[in-house]
Amino acid sequence: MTPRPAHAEDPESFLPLHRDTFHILVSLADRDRHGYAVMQDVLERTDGKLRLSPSSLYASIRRLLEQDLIEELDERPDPAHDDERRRYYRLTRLGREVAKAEARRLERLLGDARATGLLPRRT
Amino acid sequence: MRTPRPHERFSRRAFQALLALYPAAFRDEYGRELSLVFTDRYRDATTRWDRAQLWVEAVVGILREAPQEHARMIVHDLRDGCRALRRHALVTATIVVTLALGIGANTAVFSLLNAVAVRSPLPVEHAEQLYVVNRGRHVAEGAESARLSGPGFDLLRNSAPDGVQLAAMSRGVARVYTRIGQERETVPASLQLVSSNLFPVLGVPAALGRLLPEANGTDANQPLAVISYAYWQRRFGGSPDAVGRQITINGASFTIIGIGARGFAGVWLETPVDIWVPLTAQPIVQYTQSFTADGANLGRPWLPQSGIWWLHVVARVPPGQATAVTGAFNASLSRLEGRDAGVALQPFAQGFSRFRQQFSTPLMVLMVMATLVLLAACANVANLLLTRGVGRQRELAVRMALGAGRARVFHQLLIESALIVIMAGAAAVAFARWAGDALLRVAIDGPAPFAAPIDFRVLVFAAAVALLSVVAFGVWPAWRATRVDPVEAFRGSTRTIMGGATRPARTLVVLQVALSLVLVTGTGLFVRSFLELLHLDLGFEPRRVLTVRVDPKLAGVPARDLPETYRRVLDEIARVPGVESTALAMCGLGTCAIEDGYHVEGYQPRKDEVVAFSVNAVTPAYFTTVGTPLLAGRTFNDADREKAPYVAVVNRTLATRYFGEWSQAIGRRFGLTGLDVEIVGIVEDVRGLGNLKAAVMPSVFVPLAQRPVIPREVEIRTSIDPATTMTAVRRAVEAAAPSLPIESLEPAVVLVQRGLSQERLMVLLTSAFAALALGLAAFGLFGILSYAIARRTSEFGLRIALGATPSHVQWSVVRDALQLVLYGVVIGLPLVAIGGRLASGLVFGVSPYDPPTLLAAVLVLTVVGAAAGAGPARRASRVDPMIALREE
Repeated sequence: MTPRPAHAEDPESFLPLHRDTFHILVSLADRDRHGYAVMQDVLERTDGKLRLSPSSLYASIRRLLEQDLIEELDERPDPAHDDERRRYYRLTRLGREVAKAEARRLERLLGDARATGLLPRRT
Repeated sequence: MRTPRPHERFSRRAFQALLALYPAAFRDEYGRELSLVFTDRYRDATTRWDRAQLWVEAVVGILREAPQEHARMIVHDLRDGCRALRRHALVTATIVVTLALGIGANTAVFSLLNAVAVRSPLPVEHAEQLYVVNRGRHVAEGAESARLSGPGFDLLRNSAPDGVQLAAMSRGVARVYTRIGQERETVPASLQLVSSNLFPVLGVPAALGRLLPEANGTDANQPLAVISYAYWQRRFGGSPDAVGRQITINGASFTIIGIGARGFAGVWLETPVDIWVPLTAQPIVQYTQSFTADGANLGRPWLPQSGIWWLHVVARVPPGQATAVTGAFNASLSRLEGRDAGVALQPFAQGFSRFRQQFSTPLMVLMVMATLVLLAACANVANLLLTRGVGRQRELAVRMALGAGRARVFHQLLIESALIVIMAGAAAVAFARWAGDALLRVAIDGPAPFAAPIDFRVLVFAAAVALLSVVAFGVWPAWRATRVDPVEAFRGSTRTIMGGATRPARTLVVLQVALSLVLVTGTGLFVRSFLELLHLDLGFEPRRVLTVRVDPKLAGVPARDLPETYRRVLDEIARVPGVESTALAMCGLGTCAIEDGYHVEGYQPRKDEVVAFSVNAVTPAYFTTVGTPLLAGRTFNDADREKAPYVAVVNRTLATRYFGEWSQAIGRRFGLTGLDVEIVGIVEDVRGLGNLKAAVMPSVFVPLAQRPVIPREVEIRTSIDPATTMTAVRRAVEAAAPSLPIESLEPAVVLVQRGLSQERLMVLLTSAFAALALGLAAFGLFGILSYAIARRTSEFGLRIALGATPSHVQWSVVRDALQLVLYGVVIGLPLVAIGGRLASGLVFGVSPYDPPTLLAAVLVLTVVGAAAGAGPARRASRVDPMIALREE
């Protein structure tokens, strides 16, 4: 595993996140999921606009594991998918902080867009 | 669980096959998950279009991600490799330095050998079609010895078959004095006389202007010159208006008509030519060197005379015609001379080189030695890796226990090896560059006249040998060890772990000792040879002699003023404090013109024998000035002048060879046309400074007053160190003749040292190689013994517990070391015999199989072996029995 630099404890140091990375973290925010479940969840939340390929999904998962933003859980069967044993993933504490930091960053950007009139202000 | 449909099963298997593009480690980790995800997506795809889209996504995704995973893994392994090497920094540094020295030494020596003996320095077209026309006994001496006369060249030109082109050039490159425009001081330059078609025959174009025009060979009114590109840059700053300018050469005016091609500076490897003039200009530039003559008038133009052999003749022969051309030339020359001329065409693709003649064999010997050093270095590295690998078994066991596959471990070990060899290669390049320059400087004793760029082929080859050693002894054993169950690796005692490395390691050390024996013996021979030469009786006293080379005639002093000029110069020098006597000579110490065709009273030469003498013309004070002892008779006096009977003083070799007992030579006669010269004295042999190892030539000294030649050497005897009088002598010469250029001014000892440059090179380098090999062998011995101690700790503990004394234990360790040395010596002896044969031509005054030298080498190895064992022996004798047994 690639050793984390000391300053990596600071969630801000991970920003800005890649789009796929953020979606995976968001997907794991409410519960543990296996790979395919993450893929499905991201597809649904983006209304079919972001479809992660198997390769890019697991490349991202590997990176997130190395960065200690997610952790692997034991394999367990998933009745929703032929009861095959699959590896489940969960957000780590750091991963949750990083996801929040990215969300706040995006919120700030959104705020700036509203302030300049690019987007309608919230009523 | 729903049963998968056939096309789903096929797709899954096809996708799994695609996963082979990923690194094995990634596949092991995520392959199953990827397959599952793909299968799920495939099942959820309802239409053919969705499935097709999925496939495109999957393939594109894999093609994009797989190379990135590979790159990431290599970077990761590189980082891990660097960390691993840093953890064992001392061992890594030792391996890198050892390999760098071995690879670098080979590269440096081979690059020089390549530049001198293998590569063609001639930047000409189809150099392989060029030949030198040689004949008679000079064929055996090599192409540089070839010589022909002007009429001989004409004859060959007229009898050359169609398609064969012939050109000629003066055998020597002369040092001349030039002036351009209104310059007051003359500037030295190098000059060669050539036939007009030399450049077209060689295939060298002009960079600017034109080359020498076709001219009637006897027409002397063609004061035209072509200068070299380098000379043009140096003297004219590359200005195009150099063409058409006048240049004064040795007082005669020439017009520059062209500039030679860039990169071409003549055909001598170490003597670049600045100016080329026609052969017909020989009397104009007063070229009088590098010739043999018989019945000729040296004062008249040389080109038409058949009795002066002063030309190299070069032929461009179309492929396949060499034999026919040789036959045609031989027929023509044999007809002219009335006997078989023995013509041979000798390859000229590499031009001429004195350096090549002198250093080819020594360089090849050095090449062999450098290879031995490389082998010794690889053996050392192999040992280091083997013994280090032993310690790594546990580390690798940990890695595999944490999930690393064997393939991954192998990959990591390979990367480490590659890193080591890359570092060693980089260091080797730097070392080779430095070593190559240093080698050249020592060999030539001055700035290098030609370049010896690094030959990367040999660097790559040597690095490949090194890599092979590293892989064979570092990677292979370590990887094999990963077959062992990790638990066993943890549990195994030190003894069992290390046992596997002992035998190959001991074999390697024995090999190193054998190689060291060859190198140390070789060094001993070269050192003894060098010492023999240093203490050689040179036949004169170099420590009291200063030599000055001048050339008043070439500097423009009129002939009638010469005697007065010389008298003034000698008088002024005689006034310098410390000067005891002065003398003039035609040639320098030990290097003189060879004249053949002599007849000796009472001596009948054999059928193929040529009676040739080295002839020098000297003033009466010559022998006392240079310190050559008179053995019998007398030296010259003032009575031996121009109109007096001809007399000569000969050396011991001549007197012995032609008169039996050398004292019988006094009063005997010899001569060229008749027996008109009387021998009045016999002096000791003087060694030729150009080649001290060569046999002394029969030498004749004649009075300068009885020879119409210009003396070029002033010999000065001093009562103090000659070097301290150099400045005063220079000032004296300048005071006596202000416009007289001093070609050289140096103590005779410097000339002697220069003559020993080849021997000095061999001594320096073989000593360096031997020291390196010895160091490596000692290191190897030390290492193997240290690990043997570690392996036998419990054994030593038991022996000490049972009453063995420390000295007894120490002796057992040292005995082990000496045993390895003995095996190495036994294996090395046949190699020494082979090496002796190779080096036999390079040693002087000592047999290549000299027993005392061999004995000394064995002694050195024994001492080194014992010293290498001393440390481990002391450690073994201090083993605490209780701790040792508890560890076991």
